[in-house]
Amino acid sequence: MFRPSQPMVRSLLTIVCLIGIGIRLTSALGESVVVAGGVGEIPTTERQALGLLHARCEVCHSADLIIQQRLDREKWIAIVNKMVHWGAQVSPSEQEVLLNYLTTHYHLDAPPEQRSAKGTSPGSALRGTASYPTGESRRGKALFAAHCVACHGVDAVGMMGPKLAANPILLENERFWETVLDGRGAMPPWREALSPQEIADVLAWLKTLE
Amino acid sequence: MPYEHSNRLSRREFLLRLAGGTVVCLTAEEIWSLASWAQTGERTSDPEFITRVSRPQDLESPPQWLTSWLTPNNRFFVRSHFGPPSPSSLKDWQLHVEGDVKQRLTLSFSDLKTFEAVTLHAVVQCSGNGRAFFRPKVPGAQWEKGAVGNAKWTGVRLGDVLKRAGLGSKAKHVQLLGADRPVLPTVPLFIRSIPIEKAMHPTTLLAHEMNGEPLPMLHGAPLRLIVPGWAGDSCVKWLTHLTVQEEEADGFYMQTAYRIPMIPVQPGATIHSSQMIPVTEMPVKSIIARPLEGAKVLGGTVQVEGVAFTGEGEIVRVQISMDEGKQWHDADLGEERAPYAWRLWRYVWKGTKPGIYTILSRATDSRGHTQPMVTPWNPGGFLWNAVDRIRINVTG
Repeated sequence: MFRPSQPMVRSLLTIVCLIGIGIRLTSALGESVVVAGGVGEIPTTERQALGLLHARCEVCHSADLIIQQRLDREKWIAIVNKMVHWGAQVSPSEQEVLLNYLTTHYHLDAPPEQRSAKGTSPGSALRGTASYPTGESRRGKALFAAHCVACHGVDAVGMMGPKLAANPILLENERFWETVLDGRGAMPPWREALSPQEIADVLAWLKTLE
Repeated sequence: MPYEHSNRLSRREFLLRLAGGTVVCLTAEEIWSLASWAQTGERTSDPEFITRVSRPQDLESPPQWLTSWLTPNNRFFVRSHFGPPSPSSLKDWQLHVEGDVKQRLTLSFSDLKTFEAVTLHAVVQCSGNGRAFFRPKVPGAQWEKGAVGNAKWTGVRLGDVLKRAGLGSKAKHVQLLGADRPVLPTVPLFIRSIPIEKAMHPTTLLAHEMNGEPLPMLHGAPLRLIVPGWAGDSCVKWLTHLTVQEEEADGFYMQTAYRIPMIPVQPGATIHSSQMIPVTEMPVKSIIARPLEGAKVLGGTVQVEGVAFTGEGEIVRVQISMDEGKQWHDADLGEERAPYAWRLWRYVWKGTKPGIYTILSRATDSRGHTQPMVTPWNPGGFLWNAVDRIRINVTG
């Protein structure tokens, strides 16, 4: 009888995961973004907007609700105002960044949502190698406060998202990077919003917590 | 507001925690109650659902499922504003009946079962079903055809429960609240109301069974309202509070959302709130289940099938057109029928020659209402009921 070997199962799983990631990337953003081993090719304001979407909007609802909309600027302003009124933590200058992003990508004439997988195999430059950047915890603390605190809580003690302080995942490079880059469950994929260096900085700071 | 976001943070506390400063350890209950995306642990939903929103979950049935008289529970569309409540918040579940009543009631699940049991069939359709077809596009979940299902509901009459409580002299509306809660305490609760006449109607049901099974969590366990003939926004899930009162419910989900213009408006127009009325009854509608949009079909005999339903009255006719409505051909109606249920229909199109065709379906109800070619635009994208259409490629 044919029995798949352990490594074979593992590589099959990896392929399935990679396919899944490809779908996720395109479906979460509604367009294919070429990511060559990081976020180098995405403009800074786009990265900032994606970070805001993940950290401030996806606290309450997933991104698919956003990317299926095709609206003019006036409607987007009304929606952002409604969400701020309901407690979304977005400052006036951040609202401007978000609005520019939303009206650029999800305006009335934007093409319909892509449901198929396309684009490059993301993050392959990082996964499976031992060469993760070395982080700096001082920068990581500020990055965590901007992007992660809404779900993981002050000092990473956990809220809607799990407690990260002293969480064993901090010592499992592979699993940590995969979760942050590609998301898991309610955790959004941060691949286009944070650079590998920034993620490493956050990790470095998390490792300083008790 | 009389209802607390129990086990929740106040806005101030939440902001404080966001802002940093104090280290606060939340209890497991707090974390769970905040984690409305944790959903229910029920993993029985059919994987072929179209996910409109993954958190909180909005799931649409693909059109080809709309070919059975009863929609199986695990294929029934899923929609809520905040996702199901935490199981622990339902552990000591009770139904509270209060407001303008002679005697307030607090009913346990077994208390409810002492009322006369009623079983009926009814379509439940999201009022936003078909929103994706409005032009210009409107905000909201972009439902296409499948935010609708037909089920057998068992429960007790809302009217019987209200009669036991005894209506006061100012009883004009019944306000409805479930146990589901938003992630942030600053988001308004999903509070709805229905007029007292509809509440006392003998078919308005407090349902605890769906297709002969206990109500699944995704569909409102342990108790939801079923308002036959009305859109799903009145069919509040996870019910805990009924409040009899003089006024329509206050708040966003009754006074701003789920409202339509009382007069025809220009597409894209801004309408003053005084011109908007609540979504209630569903208009007559048919949906083509098969063939699917864009399907390649072998010529000769093509079978077209689907469902049709209406708010009040019954479906008396479904017609099919292959020439943009110049000629209409009667479809055969299915044998299974019940007030407020849908009716299956089928049309066998013989002698089909190769080519690209647009197929239209149009239903008419016993009040003489017929589906329009285009649904008048409304800013919320509600109650789409235009003649359904698909394009197919008939091959040789």
